[in-house]
Amino acid sequence: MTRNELARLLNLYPVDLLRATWDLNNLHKDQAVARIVKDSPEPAILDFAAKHHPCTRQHVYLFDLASPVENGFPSNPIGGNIAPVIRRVVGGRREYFFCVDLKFAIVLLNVPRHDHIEFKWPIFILAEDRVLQIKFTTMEKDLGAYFDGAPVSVRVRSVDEKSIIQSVKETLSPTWEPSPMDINKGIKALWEQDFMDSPQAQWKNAKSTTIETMDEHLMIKRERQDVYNTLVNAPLLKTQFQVRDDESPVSRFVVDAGSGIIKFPKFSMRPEGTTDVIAKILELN
Amino acid sequence: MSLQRFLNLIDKTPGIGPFLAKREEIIEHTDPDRIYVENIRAFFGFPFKVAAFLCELAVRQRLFVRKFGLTCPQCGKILLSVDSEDDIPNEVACDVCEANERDKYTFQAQELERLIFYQLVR
Repeated sequence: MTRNELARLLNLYPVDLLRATWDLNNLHKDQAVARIVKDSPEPAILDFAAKHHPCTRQHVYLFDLASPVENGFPSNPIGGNIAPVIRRVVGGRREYFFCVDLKFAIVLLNVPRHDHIEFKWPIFILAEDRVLQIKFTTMEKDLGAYFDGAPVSVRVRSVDEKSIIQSVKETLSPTWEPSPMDINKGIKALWEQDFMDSPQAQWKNAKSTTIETMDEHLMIKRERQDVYNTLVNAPLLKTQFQVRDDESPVSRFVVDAGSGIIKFPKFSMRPEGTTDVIAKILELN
Repeated sequence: MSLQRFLNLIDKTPGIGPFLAKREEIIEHTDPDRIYVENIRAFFGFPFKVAAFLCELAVRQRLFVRKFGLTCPQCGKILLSVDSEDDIPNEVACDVCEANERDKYTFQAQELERLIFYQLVR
């Protein structure tokens, strides 16, 4: 990887975590990243990126597998020419960390001029028993930051979540045949336990779709028990949750329960933050 | 109790006529922290301007407090409520739009819509 690619990779991680790991107190993020890339070998940076992948802003897709993970499970679940940079087997659990080549073709709007920018896109795949998790770090939306703040319009993105998921499905079919996991049960059980509450919920009624958005800092279960009682019996669509424990490393997550998608829109300061939320949902599902 | 006094105020206001039938209903169904002019209009069947006048009258009588709800131009959520326009900060973020990964989730004061509502003085 080039220094620029390593720097862009590290930029996807919370600055406090970078400072704490490399003992770079008081450095601005750009300075901290530049120092790490200059002083640290690539394997150390990749090891950090894999270990702390749960701290990134990410989209997690959960799948049921038709067969348990066992000998014969592919050493590269994405397949093609995308190979994992780190692969581990821990007991019956298989972990794969990828840095996928991702290229954005863009237009600089103020010039105007065509240009492009390349990233190494961190993706973590985890397979255990009959459950597959594909975790995509979400990329910076504002690519203008890489062009001195110039306004940028993205023309083409070379690879996206949908195309990676399709590759995984093709690699794992027909033996493991991944299908999106419905996590309504796990989410509702966790909500019932008051692990979290919701500032915005969307659900299906028999003949309509409802979105409930609470004002200010109000939450549905606490303030609208009537609404809560209705939606716990309905299929949940895109619903936001706020973790009630203020000390939790994860503050908010967004769930599309019928499709098995969990989105973590903010950094988590500790890797166990997002993994704990996912584990709790799976345990109760 | 302020709501009862508000109902009495309606009864005594010239031209409005006595309020009778929905007295219990408004007490039962109105959130005393979020009373909108439309709530009053719908309950009593007054024209909107009359309902708005009564709410402002209730403010002057110190039965209600007027609040400004600042709403997100994208999702409609009240982000913040303030007592006067002077209390509106220059910039307000919408946590719901941020979590929904909207490109824009921070708004200048002039981008936010104002929604007036009233709170019952207890």
